[in-house]
Amino acid sequence: MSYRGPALTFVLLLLAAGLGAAGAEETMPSEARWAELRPILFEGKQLLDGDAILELRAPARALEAALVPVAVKTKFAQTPAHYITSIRLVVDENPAPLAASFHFTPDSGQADIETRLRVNDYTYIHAVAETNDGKFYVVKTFVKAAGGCSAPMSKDAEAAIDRLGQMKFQQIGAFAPNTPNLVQLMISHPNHSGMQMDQLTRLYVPAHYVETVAVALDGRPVLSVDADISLSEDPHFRFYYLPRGPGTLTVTVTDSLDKSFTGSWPVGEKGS
Amino acid sequence: MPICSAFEPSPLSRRALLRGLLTLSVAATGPSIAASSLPVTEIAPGVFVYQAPYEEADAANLGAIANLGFVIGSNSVAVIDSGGSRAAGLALLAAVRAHTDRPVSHVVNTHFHPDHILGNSAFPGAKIVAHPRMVAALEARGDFYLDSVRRDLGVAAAGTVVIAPDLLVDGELQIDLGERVLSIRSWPTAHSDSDITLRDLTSDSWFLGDLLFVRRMPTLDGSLRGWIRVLRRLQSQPAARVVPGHGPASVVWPASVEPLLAYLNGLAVAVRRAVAQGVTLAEAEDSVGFDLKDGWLLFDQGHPRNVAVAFAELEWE
Repeated sequence: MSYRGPALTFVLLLLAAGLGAAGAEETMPSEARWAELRPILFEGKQLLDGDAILELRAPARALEAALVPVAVKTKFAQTPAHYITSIRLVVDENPAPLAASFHFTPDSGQADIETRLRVNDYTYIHAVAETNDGKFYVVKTFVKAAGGCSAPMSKDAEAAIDRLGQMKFQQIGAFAPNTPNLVQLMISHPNHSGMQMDQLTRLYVPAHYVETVAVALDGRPVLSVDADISLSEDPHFRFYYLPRGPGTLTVTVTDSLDKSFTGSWPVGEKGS
Repeated sequence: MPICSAFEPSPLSRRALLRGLLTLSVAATGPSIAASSLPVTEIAPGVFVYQAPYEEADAANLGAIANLGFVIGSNSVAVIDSGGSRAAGLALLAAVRAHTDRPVSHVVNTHFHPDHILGNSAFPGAKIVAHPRMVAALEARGDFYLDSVRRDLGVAAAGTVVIAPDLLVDGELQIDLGERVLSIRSWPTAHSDSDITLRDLTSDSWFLGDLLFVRRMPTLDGSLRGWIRVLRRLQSQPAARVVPGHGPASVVWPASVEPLLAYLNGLAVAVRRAVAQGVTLAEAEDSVGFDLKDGWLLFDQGHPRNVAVAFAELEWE
């Protein structure tokens, strides 16, 4: 389930717009924005200190604000009795702070996730994990970056449109049944934020971004993502799945223009 | 502020602020840096170059960390790149005035990075010449450049604004300064997506902007493959001498491009290998291509970001 509906996104955008001017000059870590966001995103929930169950990794200073690698590592394996149901990544100072919600199942094996984000300002990033007993855990890290959301689109826009929706799948390490297997999924998509300008026409490029990604192993969900404009161009994910034997991973992507893209890959077959 | 880096502001530096204040107090008691002129070398008759120090922008250097130049014709003067602040531009103007009182008719911005354009306001009345893509690049990045220059230079950034180009070069443009014709040419995405070069046809001196780095660590903000392709084209065109965007005031051509090509080709090989091995972007930034460091100044400040930019480009090959 997702907390983000259109209305909420709108509220967040309004909130971000109102505070944006004050935030721009802020260079020291501040929890002020989080204090505003938290009751909207996690109304009525108690957020427990998450250090014991998860770790959030992001560079202290982004090398490229449109391409900030962010990883959440979890500290226990997914079991039917005890598992993480979702992890939300919140980039406090971004125009759309809720960057993505990742939903996991026991078939995920391990609820780790790595992706790349646009970061628009010096900001805290919060990761909030929900466990299947209904508890919420939060960790945070501070990132210095600026301008990621309005960073010019791909240097080679025509090539990017030509490969729209193309996916690349890579198993990381050897396939092994009955243990979490790590995979990388790359989706070719401009993920236009609506804040970027065409370099030649000087018109703002309409927002066009990946909204959902669903990954299943032989029909059983292992990961689903609700995403927003804070994901970098060409959305990129590393995650685990728990195979019982050879099978097929299928990926379904939908974007904000209601286009959908699918791909499937055999896993555990000879040579993979 | 690392040069040529689009979105990498540094934190407000107390040191920079203090140095800025020192500059101010010097201004009150003696000749200030801003009022003095940049030292220039005459690399060919009528062709002058300010050779920048290999430093990050700060209050002491006024952000004049890229090579700047000017060419004097019988009617007017063309300035090539204007420095990283209004103060740097004024110091360049003072250098022009030490050699001629002819008007500055053109300021040519070799691309949109702040150390090349933030002095434009020192040359009112001059046409600002640039690549067509530079207009949008500045609209997208200009405010971040101004934030950065204020952080890095403190009060020495006073008066710095972004001035957009008003004469765009798509292909080739010739400018006649009076008994001296300049040929300006735009290039496909390479160091940035807005690179142009300027050749003085009289002396055959060729200003390559940041398409050429010598000694100072190159920064990639365009396309790695595109940059290598453009350099191969440049390499096949002789010139009496070239002026790199960063490096000595004047170097021989085309031999001086070899270290840069070696770095860029080495970066491509190393990043492709990492992509094939399933290395993550975060791991790559910390580990890939550090054996390419030999001979480059400020390598550690520039290389990891180059890896990130190259990685995002090459992982889709």
